[in-house]
Amino acid sequence: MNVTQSVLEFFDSRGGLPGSSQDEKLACAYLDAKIVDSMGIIDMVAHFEAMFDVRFEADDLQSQEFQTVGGLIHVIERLRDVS
Amino acid sequence: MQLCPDIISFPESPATHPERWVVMNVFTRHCLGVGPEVMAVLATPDSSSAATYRIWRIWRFSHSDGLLADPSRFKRNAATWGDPETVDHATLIKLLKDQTILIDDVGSYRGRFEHKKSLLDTHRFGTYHQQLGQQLIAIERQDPAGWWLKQKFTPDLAEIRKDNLYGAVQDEFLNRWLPRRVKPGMRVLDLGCGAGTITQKMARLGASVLGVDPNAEYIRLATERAVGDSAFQVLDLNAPGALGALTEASFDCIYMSDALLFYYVPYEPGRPLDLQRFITDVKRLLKPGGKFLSLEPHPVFYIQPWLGDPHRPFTLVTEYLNTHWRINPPLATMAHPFLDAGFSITGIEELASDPGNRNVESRASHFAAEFPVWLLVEFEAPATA
Repeated sequence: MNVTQSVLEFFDSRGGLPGSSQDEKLACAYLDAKIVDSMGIIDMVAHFEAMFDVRFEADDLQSQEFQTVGGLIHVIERLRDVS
Repeated sequence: MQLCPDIISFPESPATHPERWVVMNVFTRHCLGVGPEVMAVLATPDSSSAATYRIWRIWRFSHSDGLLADPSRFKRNAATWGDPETVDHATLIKLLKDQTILIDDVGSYRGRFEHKKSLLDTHRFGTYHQQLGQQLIAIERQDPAGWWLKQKFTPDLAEIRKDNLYGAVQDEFLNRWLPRRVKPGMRVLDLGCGAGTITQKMARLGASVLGVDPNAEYIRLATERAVGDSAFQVLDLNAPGALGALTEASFDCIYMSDALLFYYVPYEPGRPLDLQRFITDVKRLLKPGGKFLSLEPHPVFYIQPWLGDPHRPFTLVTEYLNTHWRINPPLATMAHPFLDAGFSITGIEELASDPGNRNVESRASHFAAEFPVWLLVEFEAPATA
């Protein structure tokens, strides 16, 4: 399963990411942009954990990387490579 | 890079572990256990004075243990720290910066004393409630509702815990005070009744009580344990218009505890409840002259670590009842003489710091915004002498 495609589809289902190019979408800080609200983040985490069979650790969730769409994709890919 | 001005350091267990020091930021409550060789680095962060450094990751979210648990946020007993990690200078610097012991500059550090923007916001330090929510929901992945209930009730939800202040203060108070307010035959609504602990007390006093709560499982338990003239129904208080299902002007008294605060500080960030609608509903449901009884945590305290004495793990940054250094009386002391003279309280204002006020240093305005600085009370004189 293509992580980037799946993650972008998830955000599309939540109203979509700002920007026209893929680079702009990947750079989006989805919490600051309010694409996902504070409680919605928990649904999002559970959604990706189930979809990719990974488990985000506290350090992943608290990293700066996790806060952008591109960073989130990197975290998922890294966790998938380990498992 | 510099040492943060809010740092304290102390040996945690000098008699048994003289090499184990705690370095803590008293405002953020971040900390690190360190060997004495780290102290030289704190003085001159840029120069390396040893080949390797000993550190212990002793930070823990001590409030996971409970609302009234030791708020110091580190492993208090150095014997439980385990073996140290040995790190090089660069790793040490990173850890010290992560724990806000070393900072880039005071301005950007103080700028972090802001409300968190989301559950994953670790840059802004946020309030106690935000830190608790972040820890429980995002880090430990547990349901905060369960955590709150565990603070107040026994595991079977049958009664209020006796081993903490809910039992010792709140429950004891209710046992004394409810008989003076709740009379036989009185029609009472218990809003947010949970498993019916307080409903039972009021029904035993002879009142006819209706308990409502959004949680169907609690209503099942409450119904099973019902005593006297009491009934229960599932009702989501937060759903718009939910209280419209109840009959107008049908209650002598509406009781609610440890819940009204969520109308002021939303339970879920970004999803405020409608206080005005709630007040309108309460007025509509009460008979003329009826009472709304609200029992809520008092706002005028703030828990701080009290380092050194394990039997007094925290102190309050107020001397509210101990007026040794203060001259303004506690609220009840101030209000009772007026009430006894027939006055009514018709207005009350608590004047606090505005955290958005950029004329005040952000840390000071942030903290002072968490308690009232001045109080304005409006009493109304009786219509007849």
